[in-house]
Amino acid sequence: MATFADRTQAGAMERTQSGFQRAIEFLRSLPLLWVIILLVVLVIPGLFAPIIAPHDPLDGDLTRRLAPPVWDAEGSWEHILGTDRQGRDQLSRLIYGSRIALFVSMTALLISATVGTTLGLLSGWYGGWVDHVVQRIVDIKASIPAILMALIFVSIFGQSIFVAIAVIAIFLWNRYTRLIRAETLSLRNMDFVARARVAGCSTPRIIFKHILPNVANTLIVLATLEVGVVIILESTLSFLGVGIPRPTPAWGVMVADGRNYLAVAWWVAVIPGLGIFLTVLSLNLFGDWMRDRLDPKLRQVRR
Amino acid sequence: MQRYILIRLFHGLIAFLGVTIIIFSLVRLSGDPLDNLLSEEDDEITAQYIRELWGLERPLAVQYFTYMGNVLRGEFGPSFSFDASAGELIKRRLPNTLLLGGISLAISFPLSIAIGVLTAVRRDSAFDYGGKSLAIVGQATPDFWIAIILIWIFAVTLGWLPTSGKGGVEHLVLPVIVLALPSAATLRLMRSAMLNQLDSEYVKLARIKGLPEWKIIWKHAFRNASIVPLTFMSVVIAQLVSGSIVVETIFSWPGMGQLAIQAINARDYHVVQALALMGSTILIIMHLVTDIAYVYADPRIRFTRINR
Repeated sequence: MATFADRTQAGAMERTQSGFQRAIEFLRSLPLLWVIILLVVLVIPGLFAPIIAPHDPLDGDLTRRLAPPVWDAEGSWEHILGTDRQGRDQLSRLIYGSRIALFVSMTALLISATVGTTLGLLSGWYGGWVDHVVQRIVDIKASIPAILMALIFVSIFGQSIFVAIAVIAIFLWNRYTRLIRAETLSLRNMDFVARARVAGCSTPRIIFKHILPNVANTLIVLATLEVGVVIILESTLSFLGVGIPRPTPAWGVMVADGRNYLAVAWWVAVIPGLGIFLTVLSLNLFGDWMRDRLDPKLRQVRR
Repeated sequence: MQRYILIRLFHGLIAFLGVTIIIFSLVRLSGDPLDNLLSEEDDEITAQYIRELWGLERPLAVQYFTYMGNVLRGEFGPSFSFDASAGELIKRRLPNTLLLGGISLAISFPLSIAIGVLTAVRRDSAFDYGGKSLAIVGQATPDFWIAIILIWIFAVTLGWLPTSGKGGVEHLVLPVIVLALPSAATLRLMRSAMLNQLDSEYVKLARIKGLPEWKIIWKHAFRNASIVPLTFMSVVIAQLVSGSIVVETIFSWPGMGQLAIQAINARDYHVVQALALMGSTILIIMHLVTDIAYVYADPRIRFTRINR
């Protein structure tokens, strides 16, 4: 038995924290930082783009093409993050890009959460053939790769921000369905539902007034975690030329525009990607924090 | 067991029907196919002839079955922008895509499983935290941006590797890396599965009876944990399908992903449609295979998981 005790002791010793670990734990327990990054990179520029942006995002100065950012020897404060191949101010385009990211993610999220939650509530509550039908729809959805679906949609309806939102919404509703269905299944048989029924509540009233508030935490957490997914998907579609149409300054489009100038002007492609990265990173960590606070059950949802 | 497989096959069939009906109707939605076939000079008689030839005046349901018959024979219709039929194009491009996807899967899957096990065994070590931070960073980075940064560093600045195209082994390095990155999610999954096993009673018993640690890890815990990455396989394949579109576009790799983007830019919808059908079929088969493999690997599910 001594060896076993020794081993557990050794195990406990191994688990004392190193400085690096403590730093990570600290960052993770501090959502403030992520909230600030989100506000600075996404929300504030997204809401107030016309006020903040120093230049017009669409109108380029052709005499100042591919100007370097301010920290470069040839850079100037005129264009803090440099300009692209058409002489458009990168900072202003980034700021307007936040607006696109914010708009697309919020609308796509609203649609997919509404559709997904409704289907989840219905299939969890009614079970039986309703559940079967919903599950088959989930199967079909899971069988079409997102980007290919975007390609078909764009080939039919043309390229526009609304097609992009539709594609993203169609691609992301099923997670809500799965989780809300599971929660509804376990709530359905609880006493408070039976009592509401005895008290004379109608089925819609039970679903919306009694079940829905009980799954609200799950919903909020999942939605927060999904914003990052939406932004990555939107920027990927835009990068491939099937998302936000040019000349609208979406982050993915900006990276694509800078692709061919890596040798002479790396900042055109690299800096917008940094914007995506920072936004999604803070969203994910903020979402993790929300999950730990609101809904620890969900811990296994993240891949 | 057989019942479960039959039910899953049936579900797969429904999914296949659903997908093909959706793709077929979407393409019909895109307008009269004649618009693409006829030029300005063609008169009504020619139009009528083609309509009859293609069976366009028959009911939509009949057209769907004719279309599906053609698809099953590998005829996806002509391409409007390439000098080959859509089926022919896919046949030409498929080996390139399989090469890239195969290599990256063959490297990334075993590697992330191995690292997943190691991080679980050395839980809370610097190694484990390094892996965790990398996963957090990786999850927030779009793969097209990683590709651009790799090209910028290794191809443009250092000049070690080519920026794009198909050629020798050096052309494979960057695309394979970018394609393999998303499957690193398997690593985190493997880690938590291993941790679950290592915390269990039978591992404690094995330790008490003095079994060597490597035997506990690989013979006992790993065997039970390995079912988790197995189920994740279909997700990895789905990521590969989407990822290859991005990677092939960036690295000008002449595979199906690049074809998809070229076809969309040319509004070549027979090709787009054929590629979408291919991608969907691959996913449906993968879902089926993983579900059935899952049941084989874990006898408990054979009896409990019949209806999910």
